[in-house]
This record gives sequence, C-alpha cells and structure tokens, in this order.
Amino acid sequence: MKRNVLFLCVMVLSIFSLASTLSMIMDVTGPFSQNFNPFFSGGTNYSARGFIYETLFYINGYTGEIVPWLATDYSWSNDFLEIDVTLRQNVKWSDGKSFSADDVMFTFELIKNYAALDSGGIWQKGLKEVKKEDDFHVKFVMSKVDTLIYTDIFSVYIVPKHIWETIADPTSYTDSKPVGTGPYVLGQFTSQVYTLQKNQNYWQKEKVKVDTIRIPAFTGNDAAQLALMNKEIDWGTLFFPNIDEIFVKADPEHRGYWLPEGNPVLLFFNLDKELFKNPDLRKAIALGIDKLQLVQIGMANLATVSNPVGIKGGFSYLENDNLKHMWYERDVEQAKKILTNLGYKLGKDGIFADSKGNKLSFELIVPAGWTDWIAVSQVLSSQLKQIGVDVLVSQVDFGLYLERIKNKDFELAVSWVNYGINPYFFYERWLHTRNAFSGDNRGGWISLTTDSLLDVFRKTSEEKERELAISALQLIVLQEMPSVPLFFNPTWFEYTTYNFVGWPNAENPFALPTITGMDKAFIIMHLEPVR
Amino acid sequence: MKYLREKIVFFIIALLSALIINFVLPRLMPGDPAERILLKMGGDIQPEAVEAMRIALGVDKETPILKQFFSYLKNTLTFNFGISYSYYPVPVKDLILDALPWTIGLVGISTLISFVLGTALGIRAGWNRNKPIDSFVTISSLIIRGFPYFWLALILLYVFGFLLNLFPLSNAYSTHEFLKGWKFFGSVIYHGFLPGLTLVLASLGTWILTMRNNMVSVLSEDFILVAEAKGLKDKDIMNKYAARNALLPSVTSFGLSLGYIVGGALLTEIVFSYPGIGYLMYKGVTSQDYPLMQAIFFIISLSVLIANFMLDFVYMFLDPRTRG
Repeated sequence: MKRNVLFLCVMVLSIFSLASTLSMIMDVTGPFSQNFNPFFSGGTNYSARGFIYETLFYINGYTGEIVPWLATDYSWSNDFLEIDVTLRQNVKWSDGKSFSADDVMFTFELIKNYAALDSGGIWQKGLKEVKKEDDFHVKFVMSKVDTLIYTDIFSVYIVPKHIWETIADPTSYTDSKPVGTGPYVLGQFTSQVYTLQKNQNYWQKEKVKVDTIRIPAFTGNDAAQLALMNKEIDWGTLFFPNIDEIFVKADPEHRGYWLPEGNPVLLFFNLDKELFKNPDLRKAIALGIDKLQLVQIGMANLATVSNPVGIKGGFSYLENDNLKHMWYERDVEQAKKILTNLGYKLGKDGIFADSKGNKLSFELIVPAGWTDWIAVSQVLSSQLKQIGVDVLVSQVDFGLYLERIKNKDFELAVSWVNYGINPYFFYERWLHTRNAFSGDNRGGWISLTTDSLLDVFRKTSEEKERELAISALQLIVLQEMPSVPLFFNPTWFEYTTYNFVGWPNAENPFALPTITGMDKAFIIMHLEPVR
Repeated sequence: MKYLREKIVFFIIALLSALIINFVLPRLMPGDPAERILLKMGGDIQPEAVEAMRIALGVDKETPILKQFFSYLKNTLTFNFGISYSYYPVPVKDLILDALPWTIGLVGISTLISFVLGTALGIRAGWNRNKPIDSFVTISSLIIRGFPYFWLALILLYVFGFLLNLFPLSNAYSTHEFLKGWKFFGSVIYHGFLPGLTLVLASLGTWILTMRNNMVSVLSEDFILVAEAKGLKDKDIMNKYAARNALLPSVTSFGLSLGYIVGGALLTEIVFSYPGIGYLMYKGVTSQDYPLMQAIFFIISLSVLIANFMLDFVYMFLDPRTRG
C-alpha cells in the first residue's frame, strides 16, 4: 500500500516536472475576452504580442541590443533611403504553413491600408514602399532620411497572410484562434483563466523550457497580491507598496523583485506663460527641489532619482562629463538669491512677491487618484515653500488634466514623458517643437536650435554624431531648464523561484521585465524549471 | 384601468429620460477616449499608438452630435451596443453576456437569501419584542449594518482565504484546472461562498430592522388584540395576522432591489476578483468607454424601471386601494 502511494507521488511529481507550468499576472483588468489581435493593446492582446506573434527583430529596451528574430540581418543603403532585411528560413506558422516574405509584405500592406493598425505610425513617418526581393529578402524604401525608423519597422508583429487576407475588417477582428510564429499557441480559454501551450513547430523550441503558461484573471490588486504571496503566481507585474515588508520578508530566498527605471516624471513649467519665459525663475525653482526626498516620501523609496539631464543608468555613457560641474543639487540660499536678483521681495508670509505685490504663487496640476504622484506633489510644494514660492497642488481628473495641458491652461504640472528604447527618443519627445503641448513636450519648449540638434538623430547613422548632438542638448537642458526631471517611475516586476529560476534582476539585468511586448518572450527563454 | 395606463405612460417617459441622460452624461466628461488608454497603460504607450487608437475608435473625425445620438438610439433599442473602446475590438454585447450570469447568480442569490433570512429573523425579533432574543438580533443587526461592507469583504478574504486557507482568494471558479460538469458547478459554489456571504451580511441588518419595526407597529393594531381575544394560537397570530401585513413594505424594497441586481456589486467584485457587471461598469467609466457605459446604464435603468412596473402590478393585487 505504502509503496503504491510512493509510486503515485513519483508519478505525479514526474508529470509536473515533465510539463512545467508558469503562472503569471498579465494585467489586472478583470475577466478576459478571447481577443488576441496583436495590433491592439490590453489584457489578452499582450499575450499575442511576443508569445504568439513575433517581430522581425527584438530590440532589447535595457541594453539597446538588436537581436535577430524573424529576420536574421539588415543593412542600410548608402543614401539611407532603403533597408534590406534578410528573413529567417525554416520558420513555420503554428498551423504548419511556412513563413516567407509574402507574410511580411502582407503585414506592412495591411497596416498601410488600415491606419488604425499602424501603432508605430510608420507609414506617416516616411515609409514609402515595401518590396519583395525574393522569398526571404524584403526591402523597405523611405521617402526621407530617418535613421531611427528601423526601430518602428522592426517592432511590427508579423501576421500570416493565408489567414488575415480572408478577414473582411481587420480593425474589428478579435482573432480568437490566433496562428502565429511565436513560442506559444493558445491552449484552453475561459473568461477567468487561459493557458498558452508551447508551440511544437517553434523555430527555436530548444530554448523554451516553460511548457505551459497559466494566466488567471484578476479584477483588483488585493486579490492579485494575495495570490502572489500564496505562491500561486510565479511572475507578477503588480503595484506593490511596502514590497519588502509584505512580500519578500516571508521568504527572501525564493522571492524577489526588480523595479528598473520606467518613464521619467518631470516638473513642467507652462512656457507659454510670460513669467515662466524667464530661465532664472525656472532655475530657482529647480534649485528648490530635493529629488531624493520626493522619492523617499512620495514614492516609498521605490523609484530611482533622475539626474538633471534625464539619462537612465543604462545609458550613462551618453552623459556629457564636461557639463557635470553644472549638475545641481538642492540649494535654498542660491535659489533665494536668484529670486532676489530678479527683483522679488520676500513678504511677511515667507513668499516672494514682485514690486506690485503679485506673489509667486502657482497651481500645480496632477492626475486625481494617482496617489504616489499626489504625495510627490505635496512634498514638492512644501520644499518650494522654503525658497519662498507658494505651490497649490490641485488634483484633476486624468482626461481634464491632459486637456488642460494641451490647451496651455496650467502653470505647473507633474507629468511624464514616454522614454522609448533609448535617450534619443526621450529627448525628441521631450523637447521637439512638433510635440509642444499636444505631445510629450508638455511645457511647450520651442527652440529652433534644439530642433536642429534633435533632427540630427534621424539624419545620421553615425552613433558619434548622435552622441555629439545629445551632449549639446544637455547644455541646453542645464542652462535653460525647460522642465525639471525628477525621478523614473518604477517598472513593477515581482518573481518567485519556487518553480523557475533565471529571472532578470538588478544583478543580472539582461532585459526589461515588461509584459507589453517582446521582452517577456525573451525572458521566458532564459527561465529553467526547478527540478 | 386608469391606474395601469398612468403607470405605462410613466414607464415610457422615465425610459426616454434615462436614454437621454445616458447619452449626455458620459459626453460631459472631459478628455479623449483614446487618451484614456494612456491611463490604462500607466503612460507606457507610444504617442503614435494613441493616434492609431483614435482612428480605430472613429474619434479622429468630428461626428455631429445629432448623428451620434441617432446611431446611439438605434444601437440601444436593437440591443446592439457596438464595439467596446477599452476592450477593443470586442463587441459590448459579448462583454455584457459574459458578465451578466455571474452578477445575477451572485447578487441575485445573495439578495434572496438575505431577504428571506432577514425577514424571518425580523418577524421573530418583532414578535418577541424587548425580550433577550430581540435585543440580541437588533443589536447585532445594527453592528453588522455599521460595517462598511468592502471592509467586511477584505477581512473575510484575509482571514478565511489567506490565513486559514479555507476558501479561494479570487475568481469565480478554479483557475488551476479546467473543470467540467458537476465539478465545475461545485467550484463555482466554493468560489462564490465568501463574496456571497459578504453581500448577505451587508444587507441582512437592514432587512431585519425593517421587518422588526413593521412587526412592532402591526402588533399594536386592534385586530391583533381581537385575534388574541379570540384565543387563536400564537403561531397563527404571528404568521397569518401580523407578519402578512408587516411584509408589504419589505416586499416593496425587495422588488426594488431585484431591479438593482444587474448593477452588480463593484467593491465585492474588486476585492474577490469576481467577474461581473459592477467591475465592467467601473472599467467603462474610467476608460471613457462610451458604448460600454451606455449599454450598462441602459440595462440598469431598464431593469429598475421594469421591476418598478411589475411592483405596481403586484400592488394592484395586494392592496385593493390602488385599484380605484
């Protein structure tokens, strides 16, 4: 009898080790709908992006490396108007049909015909034509020189022609039975949980050691956090305050997290307002800010302080060392001196005012309900009071908040810029005239010099020239202070090593642990089941 | 029949105003639905993707407000609610059909249990007024009613789900295996227990107190005295004389709460990660998902109005005074 039980246990164990299942939280967005259209974002669509459908190359957002994926190689023409891409051979769709240049051609034509699917805006940015050279060579032809466009072209999810050509309207297609080239295919699906099974036709299937991915639905953070603490989840992407105390402390050996730098959060001045056109006033305010304190109090010490030029740790080689003497720390005396030199007088209430008695008092807008940013804004307000500037924090509904920024109807705003895969994209979004107010250049920094330096990024393929341009831009940022980089939002990522090892973390930062795109597929190929 | 005609006219007017408010209110929200997806992704999305989304939703072009209104009317009255913005490109109809059975199951059954149990306890308490059983029931209902019910839900989840491990932490059925038939049914009951218990406890106090107070006032009426003088059995007086009359106001509020069932129970759904209309509505509002919001608000207004209408009917039979 005992032997039978033992035998049974061994059987069960061996089944488990043969078929390894990883549980992950994709997105806390409630019950699932069977929607795997890779051209849209959201809960189930994320599974399609990277796990089911793949891109030509994987651009590693942490290291900047371009990893060959469905394509093996690419080269620019001499005039930078063409990219030749060599496709991988012997790739099969999960229904057994072969992948070829026709699929790539079809996909790019599809997003040309349906602008709603072109989430990189490639056809707007200057892609003119896609040509098939032979079954495994494709040529992309551009109407103008844009040497950064490759990042967008390489990030398009390729769909099978033989299936998608029969779809009447791909913009309202839910793709409930997706056929992709990726490491996984859809297993079972219910609105509360679905599984992804390893694709037996996968072109690099020897790298995939996770056989099944189980993705349960969560409606609220509380239940999701408890599930993570209860060992029901191996891979989490949850907002988790007090993470050390609540999550890690119970079993530090098997539980970890890594919160790499996400998008930068900045203090924006509305540069359309006469007062803020004066760089000295902006400088005084910047000198009044203690970023470390903002992060420690407002962000529970889980965010990373930004340097004055907003360059992430991974790209520190782009920092201009000659300008580091201009990097600044909080200096209350200096800030007050600047304000006094500007002709302001300190009032009895400790707030500076001009000769007519108009106080330096501003409204700072922040999205309502974003508790961490609201806390940051309140700390900011008390810091600035110490240099004699009065800041009133007002919480505004998110929709109204964006609308007010667009309509230049604000004074100060705590807001973010989408960083992109490297600092070039960040600087372009942050400072280019074309993005003023309506885009990520929320303060409205308008300067021809800045624009011409930013345009260098897309006009050259020489990394040296880009570095020179971004060095010069750092001088502008430090002298003019168009806005003040405060800190980087954390990218939430928690993992446990009960079932799988090989996770990226601060010691081994091989990829960004985001789940929205290709990174998760790259990461899952680094995981090994625990025997 | 004048009574009935009045009620039908009222029903139509109320439905029409609900339809109009339902259309106007969401459009008073500031902002742009495509940009709300920025909120969903925590800002982690390319500006170009927002533009593509705008094209997909059809909000890149200005559509005249009247044209929007008529297509809305047509869509709503044919129960074809269009495509959801926040779960693009899933049809709203599918989302609602997925969520509705769970909401009706969970909220419906708990409302019923709570009503029956609360009323029965209320009758007992009222009958035995000022005796220990009355004080016990009344005081404990006051205490239960005083708890914020999401807090009760959190406590139940933490104690019975996490610490004692007696009940699952989330979802409507097992997410560890794909069950079929009776096993699936069992799993649904097991997963629904804690959220159901929260909802029952949340409304139990109100039912008890309403019924008890009704009982107490009915018991002071003359016909009870007459019944007692006739020497009827206590049990008969309690059930056939007192309770039957005291039940009327409770039936009214029960009828109304039936109408509200389809609104779901947002906080319970969030705490227990339970699928349902409440969360869907919350999602619709926060992501400015006009089609989804309108569909849900319409269904809620419709069911509240229908419940009201039915109640008027029932009253016609229960209360002779309304027949006129």
